[in-house]
Amino acid sequence: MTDIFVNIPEGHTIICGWNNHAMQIVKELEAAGHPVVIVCAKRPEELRNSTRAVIEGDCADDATLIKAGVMTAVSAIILAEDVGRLPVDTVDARSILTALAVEQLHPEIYSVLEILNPDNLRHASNANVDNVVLCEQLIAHFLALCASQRGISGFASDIFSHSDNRSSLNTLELGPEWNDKTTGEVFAAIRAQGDLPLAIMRRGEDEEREEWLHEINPPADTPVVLPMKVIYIACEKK
Amino acid sequence: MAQNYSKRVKGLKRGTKYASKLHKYFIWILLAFVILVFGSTYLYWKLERGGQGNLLEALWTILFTLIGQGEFANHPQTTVGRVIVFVLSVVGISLLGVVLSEVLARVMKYNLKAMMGLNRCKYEGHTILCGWNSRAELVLKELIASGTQVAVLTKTKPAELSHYDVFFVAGEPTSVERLEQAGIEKAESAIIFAERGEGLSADEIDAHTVLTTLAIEKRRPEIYTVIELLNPANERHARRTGVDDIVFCERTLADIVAACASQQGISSFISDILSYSDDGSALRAADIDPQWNGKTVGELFNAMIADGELPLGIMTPDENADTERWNHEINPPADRVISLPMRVVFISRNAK
Repeated sequence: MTDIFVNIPEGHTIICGWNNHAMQIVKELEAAGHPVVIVCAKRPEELRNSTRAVIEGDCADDATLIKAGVMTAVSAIILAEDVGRLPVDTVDARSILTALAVEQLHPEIYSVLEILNPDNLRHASNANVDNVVLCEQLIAHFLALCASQRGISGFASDIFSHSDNRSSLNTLELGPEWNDKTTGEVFAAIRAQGDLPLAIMRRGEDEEREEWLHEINPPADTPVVLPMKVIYIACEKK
Repeated sequence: MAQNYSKRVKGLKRGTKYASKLHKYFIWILLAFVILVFGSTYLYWKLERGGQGNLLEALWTILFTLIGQGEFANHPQTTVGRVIVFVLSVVGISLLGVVLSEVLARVMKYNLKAMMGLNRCKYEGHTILCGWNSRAELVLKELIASGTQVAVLTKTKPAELSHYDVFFVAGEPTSVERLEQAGIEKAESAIIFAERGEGLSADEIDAHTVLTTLAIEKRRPEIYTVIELLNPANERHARRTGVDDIVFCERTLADIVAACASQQGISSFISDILSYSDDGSALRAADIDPQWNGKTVGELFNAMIADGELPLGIMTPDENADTERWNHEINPPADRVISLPMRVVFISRNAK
């Protein structure tokens, strides 16, 4: 399918770049109900016979991003491309350039950036990226968790995945009706639906980035002050 | 010149022969030295001091006599005393030199072997890391933070290891001898890393990982093995080895990145619960104590909440699996009766 026939949905997530786990990300987002538009240099082999929206071009190029509907997108994921073929810092530099272009075109977009070298975090922060994922660190922590806490991997994989149709980790933005109530009341309402509340999130002080700070298992008498989100596990309904 | 060289070689050979004899008879030499010191102490105390004062003071005097210091070394009063001083000055000091040199040689040899990864691990309940990749140091840091002792088994010693208190074994992780050297008999778990090599495809890397797992599971099936696989299609091969846990790196990463984009702001929470080395909280699993057998999950969860922990679910063993596999249930009904063996999954604060 050529670019001129691509139908760009609104409120979508743009995936910039392609790597080994990109296809799984697409599946996860679609399972969570998020339409996806992919931007990459060449149509990936896995999407050759797919009707998913793919824009071919340079991810850091304004025209390509506009064509992918960056102005109406709610979030963007910038993937680390060519890992193993290029030096780690070069991969990170290219990802940060893309993030910079995305944030400049649409500062309100929620951007998620994959970084390989933690030393490059400061550059990502300068580009006003909302969320940085340190790939190697994340996998290392997950491996250590699996080895030190026997049998936990199935539990962890279950809550992180939306596409398995079982339980999953979710966030809920509290509406004005909850203002001046307590987190105990919010948690009780979530429990009544058969789900498991875990934590609350408040906005960070950095105005330029959409940063959220979490508090696990807060005291029940903590007052709700908007904006606030609740993290909960949407449990498998049998 | 040839004659000179031949003499030297012979001299070296003789030296090596004496060193090995010394090594062989070290215990006897040490025993002779101890008998000499304590025998001299007793004789000095009995004959020179007439049984006055305590034996510890007499021992100090003899030790100083050994290095030619003190009143007794210069002016012994009795004939036996003079003999003691003479014997200690000639034989005692020689024996002390021999003992000290042998002790130093042994310490140096042990340290050299430790550096080269040739020692035998004496840890118990530890985790063995087989292979090394870019993630291994972070895993090591996490395990140390969770209070686990670690032995690392790799072909060459990674430079990063010098920063950590870990046991290193040099060798091929598929070798049973090297696994035994890493203390596999007493290890609690093993992590087998996907070791990337130049020109190796994902399937070739996975094949090597599976071979290492096979060697471990064959040698000790009770050990809890966690392996890193690159291609999910290779899971069937890995399962045949009896592996307990498989981590698909790319899939896990994808799930978390997608969660970060679809559930905005959740990434700090995920990083927090996955890490033990920070000052936040972490996801944990623990065996339920026998005292809870027959009680309800609601009672257990209430006790945990009172302790400041956040219980999330329970795990029961998978009866159909050949290996140690657990089925989980998130947010189980409060009236579920606990029937051991059962594990509880919870979030608790990390120790500072």
